[in-house]
Amino acid sequence: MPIEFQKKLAVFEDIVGVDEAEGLLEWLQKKPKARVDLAACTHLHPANLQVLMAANATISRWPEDDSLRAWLEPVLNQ
Amino acid sequence: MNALLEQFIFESRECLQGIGEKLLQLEDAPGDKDLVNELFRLVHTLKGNSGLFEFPTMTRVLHAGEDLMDEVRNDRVVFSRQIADHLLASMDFVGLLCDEIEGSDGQVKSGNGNSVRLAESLRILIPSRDAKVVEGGDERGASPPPQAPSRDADLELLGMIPEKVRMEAYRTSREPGLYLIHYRPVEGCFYQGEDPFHQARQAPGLLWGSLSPRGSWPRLGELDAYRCMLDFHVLSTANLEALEEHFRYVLEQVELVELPTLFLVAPQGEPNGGPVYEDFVAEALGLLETGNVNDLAIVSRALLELSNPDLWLSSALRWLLAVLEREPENLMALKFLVNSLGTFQAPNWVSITAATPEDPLPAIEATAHPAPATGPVLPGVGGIDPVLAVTAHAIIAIQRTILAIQDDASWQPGRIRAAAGALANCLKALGQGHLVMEGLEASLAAAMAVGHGEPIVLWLDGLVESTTPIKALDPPAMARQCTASAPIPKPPAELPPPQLEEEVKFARRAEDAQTGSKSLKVDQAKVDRLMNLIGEMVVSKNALPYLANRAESVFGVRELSREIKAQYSVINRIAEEMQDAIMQVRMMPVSFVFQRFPRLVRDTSRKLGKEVNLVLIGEDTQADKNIIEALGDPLVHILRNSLDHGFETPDQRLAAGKPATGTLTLRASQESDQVVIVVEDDGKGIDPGVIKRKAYEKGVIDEATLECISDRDAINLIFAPGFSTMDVVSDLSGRGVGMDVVRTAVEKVNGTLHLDSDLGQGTRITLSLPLSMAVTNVMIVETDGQTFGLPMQSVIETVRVPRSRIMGIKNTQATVLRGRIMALKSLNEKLSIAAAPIANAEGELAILVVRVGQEQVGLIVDQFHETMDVILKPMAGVLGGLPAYAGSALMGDGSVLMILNVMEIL
Repeated sequence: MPIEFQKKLAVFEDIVGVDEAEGLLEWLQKKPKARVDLAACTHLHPANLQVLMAANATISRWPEDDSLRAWLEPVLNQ
Repeated sequence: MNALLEQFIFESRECLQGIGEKLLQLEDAPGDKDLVNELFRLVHTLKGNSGLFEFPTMTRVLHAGEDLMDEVRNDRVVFSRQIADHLLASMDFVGLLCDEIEGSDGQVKSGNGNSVRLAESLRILIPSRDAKVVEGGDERGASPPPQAPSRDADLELLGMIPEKVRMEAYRTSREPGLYLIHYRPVEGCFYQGEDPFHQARQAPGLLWGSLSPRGSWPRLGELDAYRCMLDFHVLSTANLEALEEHFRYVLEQVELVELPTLFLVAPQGEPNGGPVYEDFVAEALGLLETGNVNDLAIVSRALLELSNPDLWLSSALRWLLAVLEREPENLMALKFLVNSLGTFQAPNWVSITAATPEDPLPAIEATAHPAPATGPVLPGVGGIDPVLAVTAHAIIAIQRTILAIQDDASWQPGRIRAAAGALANCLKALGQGHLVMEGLEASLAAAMAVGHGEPIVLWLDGLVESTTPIKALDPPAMARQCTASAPIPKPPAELPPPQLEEEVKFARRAEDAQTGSKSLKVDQAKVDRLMNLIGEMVVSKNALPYLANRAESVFGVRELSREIKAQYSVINRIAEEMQDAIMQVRMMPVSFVFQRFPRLVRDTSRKLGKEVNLVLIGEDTQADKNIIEALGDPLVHILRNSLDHGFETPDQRLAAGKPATGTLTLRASQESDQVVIVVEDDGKGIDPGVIKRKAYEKGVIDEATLECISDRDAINLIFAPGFSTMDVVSDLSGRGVGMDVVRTAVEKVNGTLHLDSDLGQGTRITLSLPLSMAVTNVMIVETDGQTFGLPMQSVIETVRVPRSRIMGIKNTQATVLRGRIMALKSLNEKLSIAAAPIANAEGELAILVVRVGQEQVGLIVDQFHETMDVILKPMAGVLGGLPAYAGSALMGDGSVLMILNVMEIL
């Protein structure tokens, strides 16, 4: 699973594809206070990204991939 | 390059030529409906063909052209010369692409930008429907390019880029080579399997990227995660071609803005300054005036060290140093920067760089932010290359200094003239040539009259508004400005938006050297004539050995005989090569037809939810063009039928103990004078019972036939007209025309069709098609004094068997050959010749072992002769009804050799 949903934390791993967006959206609707761990994420499909942006999700850890982090940091909240 | 691509290029060229002709004809007769329809059809064909390959650049233009022609066809747009011009330009472009595809073996690298522009220019000619309703149709309805952002938006975006990144970009990029890319994917792009984020991240030369939502986000409950709401912005140092290549599939969603590198120079930070820096500004300006950039660098560095790095001042100083490092000659830019130190306003590069030619936006004349210390030097420099503008202004400033010298030197008139000349050229370069006419010449005359340059200086100052760097170079000018009363020229009227008209002038002039097409279109009749001629030549060539024999036996000249034979072998070789070459002209590999099947099988099987693996064998089998072309449609029908009716679904297959994935084999081979194509599937086979019943129900057979028909004949009923096993017509098959059409098509080219099926095991359809005319290697045999030929492909061996070893089994004869019993047939008997086979001196009979299907049969003849290459002419006319003969051939001595059809006679 590219996204591991824990109690109050979604852990993204590797490449998170377009199919995950639906599940992510549902999960975030249920848990609006949840946080997202992107540390191990190398790429995520924009569908997921816009879900995170729309949900104003809090990022607990930024991607270790610097290029991805540079893209995401300005648009997501820590 | 593969054959399909070659064919595509060939056909495209034909289409293009046709389009060109039709367009020219249409210009003479704009109302001709037929021409318009024909034109539409050609453009449509071309577009469809291009879509088969991955040529988005080509398809894009053709698609626009097709839309436009559709409008013309439906009388929504009146055909005009303008439309013709645009279409012709587009077709030239497509022609160039064809050349490129041909030259680079199917690769298209360039032309993305042109393609988008051409497509736009064509679309602009199509009135939008809504506009037409409202405006009554006379509105051109050209919509502006989508979401043209203002320069301010771009600048704002640049401001978001961290200084470090910008600094790096500024240091490394070349001019022009800095692009701001706005990628606005369409909302539905996720459904097309696109990942715009990935696309943006992978952009070549990426320096920095950001993304932005298109609006405020809806509540989560209303959010559609799969509707793309993001825009992507990328700063890249890659060149235009690389970027267009990268975004080639989404080019219409991408806006490329070329940025002068100076736009990167924007100090940021806390404006915690004060008058303390004014000294520095004054000093720096002084250093600049004397051109002492080295010292400027030293003082800047010193001040930078003393300042808090987070301050706006420090940022500006860093930029100042960067500019000093990269382009110390750009005094104008440096001055802007230094001035901005005093104002805490980022230098407004827009004002000096204005619009670049590539930029679709009109030049922004008014400055966005008021920048007191900086401003336009001369009005109306829009559309000028920023570098040029800066340089020109620097030159003007120097001329002004020269003119202001008052030393009464003897060369003063020459100096004034030279300076005036330089000024005139600069103004012209800035697009202000009219100023030369208006004022410069008059002031030059005045200057010459008084003997010093002041009138020109006054005139020059009059041109310039407020404080400008020019005056900064020459402070006394300030004083004079009050008295200057030369008219300030009006800035030119707002620049018209660049006309697409001009941008898309992409034309290949008719006289431009064209790379000649490598294929030649030849009338088939001409090739046929060649074929006949070489046939005659082969026959007359074969007369030479007879002549050699006669020379020896009749005239007794052995020497001559040998020479004739030597000559014969030379002529023979050439004739054979020639024949081969001519055959090659008409021959095509079956891969030409097979090529489209992998896709067809894939799409169809997916649609049906079946898993089928297509195996192609013998694709390089060659056959005559007519035959190959005739093969296409029947094969499509057969394949579809096989996929639709033959194969089971994976579940059913597994239940039947077969692998889930079915195998469809398409095998081509040449057997004697036939091309044999076998389509074999391992599906459920055909149930003769079902076929019989259905055939009876549909009235294809009557009750009596139903009772007595064999299973084998029954399954061949599927080729009967009007037969269909499907009760429901699907979009694939079931209309009851399919297999009938197949049979008709095959029979049209004198082919035969045969079907075998094992229930539960699969179905095999065999198509045998004649090669029409091919060199056939035949074995010549003699019986009862007549000679006959048999195709070598069916001959296995020739043996002589003693009469004693031939025995009768029931009413047939047989012999044991190498431990196997072989049936023997007498050729005389088969041909109804009332003569017994003649044995040789040892009492042995000549037996020709031939292959009939899977079996071997011995054919008793009188005598074996040599083998020979002949041109097999199928029997025509009345003789065509004789199935025993495959055809006839002319022998070297002029006699006719009948070629037997082994399958038929046995």
